[in-house]
Amino acid sequence: MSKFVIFITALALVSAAGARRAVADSHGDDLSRWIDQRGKDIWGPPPGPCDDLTFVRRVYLDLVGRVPSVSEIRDFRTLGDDRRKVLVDELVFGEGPRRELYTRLSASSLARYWRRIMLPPGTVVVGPTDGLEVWLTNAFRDGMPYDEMMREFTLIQTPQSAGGYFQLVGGTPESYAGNLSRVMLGVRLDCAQCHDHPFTNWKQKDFWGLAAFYSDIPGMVDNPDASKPTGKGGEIRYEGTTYAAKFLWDDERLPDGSRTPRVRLARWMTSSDNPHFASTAVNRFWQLLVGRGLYPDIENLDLASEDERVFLDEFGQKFAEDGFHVQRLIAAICKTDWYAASVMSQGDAASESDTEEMFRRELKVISPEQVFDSLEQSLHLPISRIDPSAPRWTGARAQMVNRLGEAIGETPEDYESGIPQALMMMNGKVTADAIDLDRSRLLRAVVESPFFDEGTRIETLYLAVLTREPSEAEKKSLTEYLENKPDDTKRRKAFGEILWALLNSPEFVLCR
Amino acid sequence: MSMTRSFETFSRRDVFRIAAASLGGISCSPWMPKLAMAAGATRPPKACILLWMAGGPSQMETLDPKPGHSNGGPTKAISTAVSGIELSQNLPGLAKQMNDVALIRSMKTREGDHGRATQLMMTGYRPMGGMTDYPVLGSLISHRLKPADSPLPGFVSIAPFRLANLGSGFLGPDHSPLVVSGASDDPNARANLTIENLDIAGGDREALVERQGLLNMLRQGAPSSSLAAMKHASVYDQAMRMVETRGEGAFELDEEKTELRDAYGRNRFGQGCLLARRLVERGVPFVEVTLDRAAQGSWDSHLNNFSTVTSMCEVLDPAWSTLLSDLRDRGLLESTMVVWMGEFGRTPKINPNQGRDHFPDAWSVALGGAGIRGGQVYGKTSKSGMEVSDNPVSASDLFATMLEGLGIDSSSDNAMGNRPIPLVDEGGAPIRELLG
Repeated sequence: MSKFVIFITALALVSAAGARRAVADSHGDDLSRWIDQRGKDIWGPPPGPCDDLTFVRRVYLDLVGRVPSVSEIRDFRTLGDDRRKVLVDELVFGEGPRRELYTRLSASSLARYWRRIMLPPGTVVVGPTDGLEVWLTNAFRDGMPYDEMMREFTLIQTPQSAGGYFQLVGGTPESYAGNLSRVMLGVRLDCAQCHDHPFTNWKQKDFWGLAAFYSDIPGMVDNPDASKPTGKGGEIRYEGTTYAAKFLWDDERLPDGSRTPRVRLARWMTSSDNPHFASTAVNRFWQLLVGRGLYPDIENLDLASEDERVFLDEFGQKFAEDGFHVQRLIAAICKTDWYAASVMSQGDAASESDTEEMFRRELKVISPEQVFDSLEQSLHLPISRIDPSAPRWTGARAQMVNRLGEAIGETPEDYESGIPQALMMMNGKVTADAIDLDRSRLLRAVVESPFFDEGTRIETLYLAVLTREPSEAEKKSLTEYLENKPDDTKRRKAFGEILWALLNSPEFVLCR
Repeated sequence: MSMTRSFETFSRRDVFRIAAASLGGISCSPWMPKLAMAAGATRPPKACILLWMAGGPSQMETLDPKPGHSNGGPTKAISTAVSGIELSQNLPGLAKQMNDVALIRSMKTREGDHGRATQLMMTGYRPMGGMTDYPVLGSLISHRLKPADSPLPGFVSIAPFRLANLGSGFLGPDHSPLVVSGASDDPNARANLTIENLDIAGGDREALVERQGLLNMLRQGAPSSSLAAMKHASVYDQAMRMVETRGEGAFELDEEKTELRDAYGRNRFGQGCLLARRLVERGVPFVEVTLDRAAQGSWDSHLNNFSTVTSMCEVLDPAWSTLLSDLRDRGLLESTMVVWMGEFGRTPKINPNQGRDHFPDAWSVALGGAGIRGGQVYGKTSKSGMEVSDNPVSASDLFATMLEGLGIDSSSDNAMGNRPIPLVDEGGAPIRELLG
């Protein structure tokens, strides 16, 4: 009895401490309010909020990389009036009972997103990417500030440093320079490698000036046509010309001597005074969560006008002032009215012009890993490493991720999947097993439960797969469909067909 | 898309019946030109195969050799089946097919950046700040030539690699390409230019009909204005039809004779050209096959141009020439246009790395088959190759010529909402000499 009292008291103390922390914007609440207000100044009032279940589906997919389980949905409903904020804090900061699980999942989910930014689809990658993803996962899990992460990439000493990114993108100073400026600054310099850029102001000396910072990293690939070191730090030779290390937007070459050039580069690159750095970071997180960058052409930020990037630059400044704290930034965005806005089902082609200043929430295409991990969750697939039938470890996950990965859009709003991807979802092994009563855990649990009537069965399938209740019309339609089955065997099989349709519906891959 | 829309006007109970009817209807009328011809119908329908050379191939090592000039480098010229027309030594197979090929040696464009030039040559429009999302050639042609009841898509893109992100633009997802990705160069490998998962999972045709019905019900929840949802619906409709007809068997390359497969070349591009023929036979009006790299480098030959282009042509020449002869043998060359082009040519002047850089001022493309009078050269470059000396051809001229060759009125418009958008950018006119 007394033990129990102590336990309760301890709990109360812990939660009181938690409440105090929240007051000091440790959870991005102030930033969130600022975004809401600044957004209103620019776009006007936000669209109406989405319903609770939609919100839950969004944050689970965005933050932990899969749809919520039926019990997680149930738990959410008990969280009280502040439930959306509480849920965001649980998923982002690991507060609440599932700390270990959510911390792990959100770190690996963020790491996948950043791996795809650093090695976009279509990149020729040298070697396996696991090392980079592990490096990113650890950094996000440990709450490493964003500027520090990027400094690590800038300051590499060997091709294997920082997850081996240098090596992965080709192992030359030029390939690294092009990627760093693209990833961190939203600037594409690659064209200026061979010639002065015809449409922006980038010159060869800009590109090679950045590459020169890396001329002393031992190259991994023996390529006779690549650049050559001159033997002096901060210099590089290409096609007979020597280029000196220099920053972008600055014609002064780096003074000789002093510190190692990369230390200076790292300081310049990740400085809170470098507007491209913080703005690009904020733009990427906004795109991840809301679907479209605040300046949509994220990797051509140098083409944005003052007006087009004013919100972004102010937002980036806030992020910098907050110490580049990634989790707080994410929580702040997820707590805004903009994140929670419902997807607009606007009318016809009326939206032809003058919508540019408008804010619009579109359906978001979920990533290949999110598709698999959501299927795993929805279908109750076995996940244990020692279970020989667990698709996660048999290669089924890799196969699905690769196939879906062949057709990824440029932003989360672009659905680029083609017929091969649709065919895999329609007829692939994961689906075939899922709709087979003998092999499907979900189906068995639903169909064979003696406590469920037909309506509850349908509802449970909807909740597990789509995170929503069926509409009245859907319920009616499906009940009729089941009633028209001549016998019990056919009726049981019909649940497999319903599940097939849920898995293949636009709602499954397009987060509402 | 149209399917989804039309369902909205019906009650949900009708959905199942309609789905059943539409699937049944398709399977009763497979639309195959060969069968149509056998039944004594008209000539086979027009089609186009685009051999897209991403990266910009060197004209001087392919269609416009300059032996004897310092700009020509070590490349030699060979005679062809048409006296007076010479090609580079890299294209001995094509030389034999010269009667069916027309060369344009006077392409003159103004885009020297991969992305912008790709946009120009793929859409026929210069990039203009993205105000209009112009459709690519394949989508334009799919839109005009795709038979309404075909079980296969109107535009198939094999192993695409593009230096610009382009698609069906304002023509919408119905005309975006079916991408056959083919992740492996091993012709027997799982992923090689085949489409997997054509067998109905755990069910039969009856199940497929039910699934279509259920899916239609669920689609009604998606916002009607969402482009992503529309694309999803369009892709699924096509995939359903592919399953229903098993892709008309197009992807079963094993049905072909070993010698023929060898002749095309046992690589992705070669087998892609063979697949293109099989798709055209089954009524697909536009197939695009991309060649962007071979064993040694790519068309973008800034370095070691000569060895690189030779290596590219070892893949290109057998595939291209076999495609022409194979189409001719099957009586399909008269109805099928074969276009060879990249986004620009290469500088005549050889750079210090034995390379050639981007050059839009004077370069070459080739047309053959449907609507094209072969065995001729149109336009000319100067001795040095530095400029067009005769009959310059713009991207819009080329587009107008291709469309007219396929029986499409090149002066007509597409509609983007209420706005008419000319098929061909202003100033473009078909080259009558090439059309026959």
